[in-house]
Amino acid sequence: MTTEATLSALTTRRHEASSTAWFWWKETRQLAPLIALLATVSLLIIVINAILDAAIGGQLRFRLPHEVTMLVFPGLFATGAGPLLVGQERSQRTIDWLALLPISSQRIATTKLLVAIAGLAVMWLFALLVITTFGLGRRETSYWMIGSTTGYSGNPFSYPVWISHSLFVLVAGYFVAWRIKNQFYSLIALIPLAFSPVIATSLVSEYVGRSLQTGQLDWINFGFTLLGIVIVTPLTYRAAIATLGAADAPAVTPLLDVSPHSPASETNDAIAPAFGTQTAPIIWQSLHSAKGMLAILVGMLLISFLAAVQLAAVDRYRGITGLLFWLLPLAPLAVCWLGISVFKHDGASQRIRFLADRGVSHRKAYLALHAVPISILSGSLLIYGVWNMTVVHEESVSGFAAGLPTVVTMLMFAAVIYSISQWVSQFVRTLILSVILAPILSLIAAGWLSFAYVSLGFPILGLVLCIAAPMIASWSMMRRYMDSTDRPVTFLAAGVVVAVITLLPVGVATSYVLSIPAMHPNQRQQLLNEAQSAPASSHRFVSIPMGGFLDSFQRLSYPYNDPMRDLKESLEHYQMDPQASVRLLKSRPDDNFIAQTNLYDYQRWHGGMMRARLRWRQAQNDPAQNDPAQNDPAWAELASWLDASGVLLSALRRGRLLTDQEIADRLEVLLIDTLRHDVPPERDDDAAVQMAIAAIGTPASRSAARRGAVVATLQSLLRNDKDRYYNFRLTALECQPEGLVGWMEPRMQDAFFIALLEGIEASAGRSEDQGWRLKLHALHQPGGVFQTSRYGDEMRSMPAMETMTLGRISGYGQLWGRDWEYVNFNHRKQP
Amino acid sequence: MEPVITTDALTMHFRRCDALMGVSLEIQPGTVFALLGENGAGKTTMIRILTGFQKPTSGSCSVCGINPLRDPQGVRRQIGYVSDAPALYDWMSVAQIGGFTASFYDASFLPTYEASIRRYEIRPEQKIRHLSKGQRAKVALSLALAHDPSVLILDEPTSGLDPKVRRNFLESMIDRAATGRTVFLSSHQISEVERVADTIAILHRGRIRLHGPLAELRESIHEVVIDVDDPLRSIAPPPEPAEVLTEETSGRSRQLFVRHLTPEMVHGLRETPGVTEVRTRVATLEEIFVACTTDRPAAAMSAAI
Repeated sequence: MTTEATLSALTTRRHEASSTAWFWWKETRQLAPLIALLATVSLLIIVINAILDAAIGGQLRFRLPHEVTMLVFPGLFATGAGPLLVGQERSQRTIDWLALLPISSQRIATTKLLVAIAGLAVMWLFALLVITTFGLGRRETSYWMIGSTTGYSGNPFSYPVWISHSLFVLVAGYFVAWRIKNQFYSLIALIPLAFSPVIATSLVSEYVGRSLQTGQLDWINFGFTLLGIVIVTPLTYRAAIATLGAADAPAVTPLLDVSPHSPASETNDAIAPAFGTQTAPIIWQSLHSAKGMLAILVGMLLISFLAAVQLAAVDRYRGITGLLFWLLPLAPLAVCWLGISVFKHDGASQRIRFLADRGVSHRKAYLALHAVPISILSGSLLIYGVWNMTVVHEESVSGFAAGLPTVVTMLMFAAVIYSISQWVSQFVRTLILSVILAPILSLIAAGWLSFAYVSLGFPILGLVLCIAAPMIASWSMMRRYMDSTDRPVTFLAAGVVVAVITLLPVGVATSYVLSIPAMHPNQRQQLLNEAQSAPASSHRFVSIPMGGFLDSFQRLSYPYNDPMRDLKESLEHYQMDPQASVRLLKSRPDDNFIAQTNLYDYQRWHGGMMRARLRWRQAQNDPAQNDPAQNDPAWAELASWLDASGVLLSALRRGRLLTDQEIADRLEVLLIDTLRHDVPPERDDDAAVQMAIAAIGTPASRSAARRGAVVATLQSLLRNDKDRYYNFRLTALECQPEGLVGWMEPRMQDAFFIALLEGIEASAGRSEDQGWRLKLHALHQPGGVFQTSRYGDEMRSMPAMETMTLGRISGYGQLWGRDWEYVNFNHRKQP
Repeated sequence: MEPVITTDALTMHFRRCDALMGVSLEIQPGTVFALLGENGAGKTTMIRILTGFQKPTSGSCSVCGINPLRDPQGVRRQIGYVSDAPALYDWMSVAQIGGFTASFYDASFLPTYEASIRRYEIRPEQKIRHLSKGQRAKVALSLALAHDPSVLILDEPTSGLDPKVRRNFLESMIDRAATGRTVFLSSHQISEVERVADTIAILHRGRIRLHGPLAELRESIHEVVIDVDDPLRSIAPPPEPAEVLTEETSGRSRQLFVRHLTPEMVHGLRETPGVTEVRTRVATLEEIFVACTTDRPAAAMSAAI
């Protein structure tokens, strides 16, 4: 007897363990799609981010914070677990079958909750593992503290608050799922419940009378969350027991029946409605079959809108007003769920089946199903657009109002979210997975397309195509969907949709990048060979001092100063000795020095020489100083400048930097202009004049010098020796989409070098070809009109002296091939 | 013998209808009991109360001596239940749902279930979602029967089954009853009920219109066709204890279904002035069902006659 009892006990225990294992297996298997979905999406986001980071580097503007992304997913799991394990079982009536088995209500309720808690723990482990493995967030702050340090990581809450809140959301999700049979309504009820700790924290912040620090708010939030868990858990248990137990009989009908079913309404219900078209009844059906759902969604849009109106009217966002920001996401969520309402809500499948059985055209059914959600969406956008027109954006007291997006931007976002959501609702079988997956995919798609538009230069037409892709997919699958034969073709359609949305922006960006002609490898090799074949430089670089004001000069600014006196003082204290600047260059007349200066400093040289020219002109025009002996000081000053400029010009032309050549061009223009207009022929025998004339180059010599600089720069780029040679920038890159700059830069540089070489060749041969100028204009002055630009014929026909820029390079090669290059001074050279 | 199922004045009021009104029944063990009724008659409500899913407004019941409201688990351990549209986990395979269910019963469950599945020629690796309606019904039946329940409650059990399987199934119900088990059958298939049921009850608008052993009921209810010379002629109804269940007039011919009809009553009708002929025969179950569920108060009809 004892043996039998023992055996019986053992059997029972093993059997009990077996049933527990089976029960856990069943519940876990039901959760598996949610876990797999969230894990896949979270990893996908990280991989996409990693790829974009690798491809685009620091140019990426829209960047999802990895850490917060990982922290959000356990919360999403917590949101979906209850509705999936309880709500779905209730709606599919499998809970009734389960309850028929000899399992106590307590065991069902407890097991379901425990499995979800275990799942949540797994999700958290996964999230923390990913955070640790990939080094997300910032390690120098302690996430495990409840306090203000978490703010530095971009994570709004510390980990304990996140974790406790996800547990609260899980329990709350179970509570609403046990209490409310309609899955959609239970999810709606979960939203305020899930945010209740945050709401309570904000209320405390509002009424405490002083502003609280982040750490304090974290503690309060943590406290309310724990309190919520303590309160909601027993309520959830009670709700589960009540739901699994025998349903209560309705109360006895009162003597006075005041039910909402009045005779009038019953009569109205009894009258069959008449419709003029075949589409009208489907729309009528859409409205009546999901009245509650549509009303809630409209309510969510309205709440979000009113929150926006309030936020646009205030300039402080603390306490309750700060809480209003939490209401803003209700609008995109409502748009998302409007999309889901097309194919998924209570009775949607029966509705579609009803239409299919009656031979209703799938096209007509598709349009009719979309009619109500799109009408709501259009109406909402219209209201937003009208309100947006009444908001003062510029100089608004509210930062929120200043940053309100346009109605077109909102339209694009709404269209992306709606399009993705309605497709997901057709693609995914269960409501709960649709409700969770659609917002995530919509968010990813909206983020990706925004990034593509802003950073990859994706055109609006492309955006429209991407938005249309899910709509076209659901349209093309409609007939099969109505006949329940959409699988497996729907997976193919899904692949096409994903491919269009992901690859179209990439394709457009790639074709845009490839449209910039790259240098042929042979040509590149030739140029590199040319650069390498240049004799090894033994030149020494000499920095050219170009001082300005005397050290003793101090500019004193008084409000009521005489401007003329100021100018005079400045002039008197401005002194620059060109000979001093080139002293080192002149000390070694063996052409072994390269002058080092920059365009900013060169302005002083230009200014000093111009002042000498003016003084010389004044001396010549002044009858009192017409005596050659009298104007010798003025000439001596000019001669000094001519001599020093000649020395400097030669040293600049030896330079291997593009800016050296540009400065040399400007100096040469200045010298030629001076020689032509201010140096009379009788002064040609002056050594300084001869020095200047000797420094003036020929088109061929200039071309050689410029070409040398170009190939040297090209070589340095390939050696990644940018610090020294990368002394130019392409303005066109500033106008390109940020995300493509890294890809476009090498090709644009190629185009730049090709144009420069063509320009050098053209200027050497005095060709009128404007092809190279068009290319340089496009690279340096994109968007401008060529003919009115510095590369255009109009400006180039004017004297270079009058049109050249000083202090900066507004575009390389602007002075090339112009008249000054072909002025011949051979006749003024002294034998 | 103690009845296996008893209901005492079960009443169930819903907000806008009365599903059950004072239903009292006793079902003996080892019988096949059939509950007949139209759609909305209250059959499913009664089953839900018996299986502990619904509390009645008033009244009481017991299944296998257990009050389902106090101990629904106790009742569910004793019974097997198959609804007309069994909600099974469609992502499970046939074998998995068997293994899962078996884990809550004793060791004999699984072999019995597997044998049943083999008999129905269903592949165990098939997913439930890929089964036809009939195959699903077979799996649900197998699950409900595998633990050899004392009481088997079936709601439209043969819907979706092909005739051959239906026949085998019905025969197995008779076999079960023979071994002392009880079968509670809710069905529209009168011919099936007629073939297997020992006892029937006809539920109409929440009330039991007829209850008793099928053989007795069939013997006690007759169709009476009375031909009269004048369509407007008034004829008195058969006297007590006869009970006119229903009556229809077509020209000079009147058709009545009468319970507890005696030869003397027939003789009396024949002797009535204006009656040209009286024909009687034992009513079929279908005729009894129609008679019990037709909304014409017998008393009023009798008065019209």
